[in-house]
Amino acid sequence: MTIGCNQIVDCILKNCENLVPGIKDVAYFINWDCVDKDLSTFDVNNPLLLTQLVLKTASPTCYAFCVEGYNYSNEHTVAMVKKTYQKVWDHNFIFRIFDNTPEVKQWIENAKDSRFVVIIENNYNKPDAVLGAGRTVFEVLGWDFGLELNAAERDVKSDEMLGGWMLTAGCSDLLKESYMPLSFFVGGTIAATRAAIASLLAPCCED
Amino acid sequence: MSLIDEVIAFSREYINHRAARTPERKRQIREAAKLVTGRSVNISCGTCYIEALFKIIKYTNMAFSQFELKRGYVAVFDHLYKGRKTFTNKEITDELASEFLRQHPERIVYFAKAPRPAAPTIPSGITIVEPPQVVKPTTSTLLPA
Repeated sequence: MTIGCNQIVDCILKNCENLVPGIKDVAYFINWDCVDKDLSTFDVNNPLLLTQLVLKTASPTCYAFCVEGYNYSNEHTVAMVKKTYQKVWDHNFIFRIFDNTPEVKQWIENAKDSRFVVIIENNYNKPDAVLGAGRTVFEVLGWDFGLELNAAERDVKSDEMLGGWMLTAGCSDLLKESYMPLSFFVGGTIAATRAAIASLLAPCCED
Repeated sequence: MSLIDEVIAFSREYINHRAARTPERKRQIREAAKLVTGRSVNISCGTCYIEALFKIIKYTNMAFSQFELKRGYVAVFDHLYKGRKTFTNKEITDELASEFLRQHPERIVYFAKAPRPAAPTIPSGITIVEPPQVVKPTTSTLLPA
């Protein structure tokens, strides 16, 4: 057994920063097949810190597609799941689409049969003079297997949704993620991380 | 000539002359716009075709460097004169990419497009040794007597 493997090796001291709950309204969906896992890199000391997320050069072009909610309508939960011998993680992303055009329906139909990685932006941005601010901002869900649509619901009488769509993306029933959502921080700065995300975006995000 | 090049070639005529707006050209614009932007053009909207043409021209003209990074990759390195530099496809220039690759030749894998070097560069301290000649036994020696 490697020394330090699955052993506690560090302390957690009091966090003097105020936690800010919630995630931003824009989330980025990437088809799971598009992620180039051979070229994407992680921090050498922490496998939960993704330092480069590179897409494959493929046809049709691989992009990160924006899905924009409204007034903090996106939600995210993560929970540990105890299996017989090991423990895994269940990633969930709940998002709402306040529309019902044929394009929205087609998007949902396509998403229903696909697997995707989701990048979310947390409201919580912890300042850190040493390691750089912004390490808590972006997270990547579904790195191992990709998320899938587990529920899609439209209630035309709903007071909350007013006829829009409520969608739940998550892990499949059997295959859960081996890690909790990955922190995404590129080049040691939040500016470089935002530049990385900007370089992933599909042209339709700019409309 | 690719579809996008073809659309760009007739774009000026399409915008300036109503007679040039044939159904065949509209079909080509729809297909090119889908390729470039990932979005469909509203069929019943004449102005949308012209807007789509501008988008096609804009996105196609963005490539001004001989180098292109793979989508998502952020190159971070210490430039000899300019200090720490960070660039993505949006900021890439031939000078930045060449300097980056000079310092990190192994990171060529992060480039979707790069000009072929004039001659292979051999890092200093490495000598190329020809492999020894291997004489294959003839088939007859392997056969049982």
